[in-house]
Formats: sequence, C-alpha cells, structure tokens
Amino acid sequence: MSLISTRQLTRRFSGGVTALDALTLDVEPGVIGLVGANGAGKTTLIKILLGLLPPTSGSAAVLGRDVATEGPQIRQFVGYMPEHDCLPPDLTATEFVTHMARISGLPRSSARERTAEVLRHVGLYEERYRQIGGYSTGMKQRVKLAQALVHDPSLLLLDEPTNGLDPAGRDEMLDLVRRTGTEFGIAVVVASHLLGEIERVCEFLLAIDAGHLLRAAPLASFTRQTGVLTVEIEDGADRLAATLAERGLTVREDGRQVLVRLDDERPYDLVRDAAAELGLALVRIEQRRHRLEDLFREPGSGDEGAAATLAAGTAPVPAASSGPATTGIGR
Amino acid sequence: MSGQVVDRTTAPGEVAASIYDLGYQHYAGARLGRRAAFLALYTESLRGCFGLGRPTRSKVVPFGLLILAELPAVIAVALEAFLGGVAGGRIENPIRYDNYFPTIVQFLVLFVAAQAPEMVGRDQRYHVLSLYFSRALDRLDYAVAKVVALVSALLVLSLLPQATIFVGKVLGSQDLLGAFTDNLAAVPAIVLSAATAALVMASLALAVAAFTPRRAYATAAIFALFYITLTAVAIAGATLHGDLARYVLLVAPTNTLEVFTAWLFGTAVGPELARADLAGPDGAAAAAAMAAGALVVLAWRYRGIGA
Repeated sequence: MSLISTRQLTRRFSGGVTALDALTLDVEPGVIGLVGANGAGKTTLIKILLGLLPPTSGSAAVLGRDVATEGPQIRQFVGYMPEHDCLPPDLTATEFVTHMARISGLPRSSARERTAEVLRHVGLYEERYRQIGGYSTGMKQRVKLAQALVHDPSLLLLDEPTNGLDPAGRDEMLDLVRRTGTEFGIAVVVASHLLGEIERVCEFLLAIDAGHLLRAAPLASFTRQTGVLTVEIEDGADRLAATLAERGLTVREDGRQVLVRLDDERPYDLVRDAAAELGLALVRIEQRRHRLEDLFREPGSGDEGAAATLAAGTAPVPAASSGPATTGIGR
Repeated sequence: MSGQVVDRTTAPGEVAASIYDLGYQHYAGARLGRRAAFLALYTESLRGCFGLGRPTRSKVVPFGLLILAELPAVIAVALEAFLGGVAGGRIENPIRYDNYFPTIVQFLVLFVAAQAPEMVGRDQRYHVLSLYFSRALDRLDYAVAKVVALVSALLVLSLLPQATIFVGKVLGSQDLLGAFTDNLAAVPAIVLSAATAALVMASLALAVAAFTPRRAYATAAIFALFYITLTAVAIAGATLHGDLARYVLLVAPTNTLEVFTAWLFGTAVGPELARADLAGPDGAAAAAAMAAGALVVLAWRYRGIGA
C-alpha cells in the first residue's frame, strides 16, 4: 500500500494561479522530504492530502483511502503541523492538546494520558500548565508538533516545522522529527524550502517546482550522482583549473572558485596536491550539497529554468551562486 | 510504576537520564471517530460559551448575564410568597412564564452578541480551523456543533429562570401535587418558545459572527441585526401601507419571537405589534425562515472558508 498516491492532481486558484499541475506520484512509508521553493505547491499538496482543499481535478489517496470520499476516516490517522500559527493564546498547552486529541476521536482519559506523554516527548515539562500566549516561538512549535502527534498518527505532515526557530531550536526540532520517523515508525512528510534541513532527517526526497514533480528518489541517489566540490582560492583559479583538468577531472572555473565534479574521493587529494605544487593559497574546500541545483540536476537533464527557481528558495546559498556553472560540470 | 524506575536504575550501564525516558508509546486504544469529535467540540464550545476552562475574565460577561436573566425569576418567587401570604392572592404576579421571554430578551441579545463572536471568531483569529478540519470532523460538523452549543447556552439562560419559577410556585403552594400538575401544563409552551428563540438567535448571531475574526466588528454587527432592524421596521411599518406595513415588522427577529411566544402562551403582544395584528402562524413561519436562512448562510460560509 502506498503511503501517498496522487493521479493527475491539479489545483488552480481563482486568479489563474496553478499551484499543482497534473501531479502524479506514489510514495512509500518513511521519512520523506518535500522540497521546493516558496510557491512551488508544497502547502497546496499537503492541504489536498488532508482534505482542507479540494483538488480542481485528479485524485489523491492517503494510506490507501481516497481523500475526497473518506476524509474523516483518513484524518483520524494523520497528524498535521501547519506552517502558520494555530494556537489560541489563552489556553494552556495541556488543555489545547487534550482538546485536539479528543477532536481526533480519542476518549477523554486516553486524550489526557497521551497529551501528558506527547508533551513530555516534545520537551515541554512544567511550562505545559502555562498559557500558550506566554510561550517562545520554539515552545509554540513544540506544541504544534505535539498536537499533530497526540493521536499517534500513521502519517505526520509537517509544513516548514523549523519556521522562525533559532539554530539551536532548529536542531532540536529536526532531531525530534528524525526520531519520530525512525524510532517510532511514523511516516513523516516534511515540507521545506531548506534542503540543508531536509537532508539531515529524510530518507527520500520529493522535489516539486511550479506544481510539477521534479524528481522523486532516495536521498542517497541524489547526492551520489551529483556531488560538486567547491574549491575557493585566493589567486590563480585559472591555473588550478587547468592543472586539475590535465589530471582528468571535470572542472569549471567560476571567479575565485573552481568547481570540481565529485564522483569519488579522488578529487580531494588531487586538489590538495595541485594547490601545493602551484603554491596557491587555499581558502576553502567544500562539498556543495546544500544547493538544490546540485542535487536535482541529473547529468544532461538540461532543465535549467526549474533548477534556477529552486535555487532561489534555498537558504544556505553561497555568495557566488551559479546554476549554469554546475550544469557545465554535470555534462 | 515505581518498580520500573528501581529496575532501570539498578540495571548496569544505564545512564541516569534514561530513567525518565520511557520512549514513545504507540496508542492502541479506541478511535471514536466523527461522532466523538463532534461531541468533544460541542462540549468544549458550550463550556467556552460560559468561560469555563478559560481565564476568569472570560467568565464575567456570560455569568453576569446569566445572573441578570435569573434575577427576575428570583424576584418572582419572592413576590409569589409575598403576594400569596400577605396580599392573599388578590394581586397577580407581574413576572410569569408567559412574559418571561420579553423580560429577558435584552440579556439574550447581549449574550449572543458577546459570545457568538468568541465562539467562532476565535478559531478564525488564531487559525485553529485548519487543525479542526484536518481531524475527524468535517466543515459542516464544525458549524453544526457551534450552533447546537450556542442554542444550548441560550436554553440554559432562558430555561433556568423558568425552572426557578416552576419550583418556586410548586414549593410555595399548600397542595404540592396539585400545583405540580397545574404548572406542568405550561411546560410545553415554555420549552417550545425557549427552543425557538434559542435557535433563531443562535443561528442568526453565528451566521453574522462567522464572517469576521474581529470580535468588535462581529459584536457590533449582531447588535445592528437585532436592534437596528427593530427601529428600521418600525419606521418602515409606519411609512408603508396595507399588508406590507404589517408583515415588515416580522423582519426584526425580536418582533418575530415576541409574536410567536405570545401565540404559544395565548397572551397579547406589545401595542405596536398588536396594531399590526399579526397571526401566530405568521410568527412561526418567520422564525423558521430566519433560522433556516441563517443556517444556510452559515453552512455556505464554512464550506468555502479558507483553512
């Protein structure tokens, strides 16, 4: 049974915006990253899967049930953490999460027990008896995750779970997400425009852009195929590029940087040796995997428009961004 | 429970912190589905209507109005004892079952104007709807639960005083059983009029309140619906001629409910309505049309609301 399956799923908004365009995909259970730039259709897809939005055409099934006809049954087994604020400030975390558990169909006593357990699980202790209005952003995100987990769903849909968190908060949230997926065996879909985050928790990636499926593949296959090594040097990038090319590497010069195609471990040594021989001052050697265009570029696919759009949505983009340069290497 | 903790601490190589980390437990218990979700939302909304489970300041208005609505009944019971004893039953008690609705109708309007926006606007203001609609509920369930909850709250407000009068009358009489049977005859009219008023007022107020997350706007709009219409139809009634001049009075919800209630109890309406000489079934039809219209608007609103 597929976790999620869509057929020709299309959603157009009034005003002519097409958020999803004939999207067809099948996803097996696991920790799944849903990546794409802002406006790529991630939230629209999640809302259709939850039955919050009707599709314009096409169909979708979650846990083997049709979203259009079996909404309430499906949703007893699905947890949703929206991107936006969704917490009433004048309730305590305990009251709110208990209420949400009951709306998910849990009996009163179970709702209370599960609430206590899940709030402890997300790391809220004594604060859980305080009103949510006084919480920090990090605590609110935890309550949002708790309400999505309280009924022990089979599928958890998280929309930008690290929104508004500081670096430490992000790490904790990502760790929680990863543990939820791996230790508790709950299928998780994490939507994010930050590939660096998705990469840390997911096993499988779905990349969408402008409502189209760009790629769906295990994370490992993305990184293996398209690793790019960025070498930044003070001066003499041209000489280094020439030397590396002589030694059989696929390289491209890009200002002060040299981009090297990374198929195995060999380029690291070659770069070091070449730099030493030429007497160049190395600033940085970095495997550039945080950039969507590196990951989604299949050698020779040539879909530059899509990659460029995606790159615009990534956060940790180095200053000297260059989609086409990478394309050159890929080929 | 404590046995477990002891076991874990004594286990070799176990770090202290893991005593408390019992891991994630899966839930294998019952999932009661849509019906239970509906009941949970209903209960929570009804409680919220009286500020229960909310901060103290949320209780002030609903309980204040509950006391105000109850007060005439308490006075009536006191008067009953006084009139029965001292005056020897020669003076009729001014507060009765049949005129209780007109006596407290202002408090009921205040109640829906204060609590309907709280009931539905809150969830829009804090964007909680997406959490509801992504659970076992559907949109219509949500709207119906809110209507039923506000109807229930209004019934508390209007039936509690009537029950007080009832108990007062029965206990104040020499012949308990006889008084009980006498008063029982009034119960169907009391319940029917209260239920109709509650349904009309709740559905109208919620249909208005559902359109804005802003409480102040919603409260003002509900006041306008109940009070401005009253003045407007009075002016229209004076300007227009023929049947239109009479029936236009029924556009104001409080007029409609007054006509309907008077018909149920077989009493007279106020002077203005009396001049219009509206029949009871007209009031019933207008009340039904108002409730139905408001419920359709509410359903339409929640079908299309963004979540």
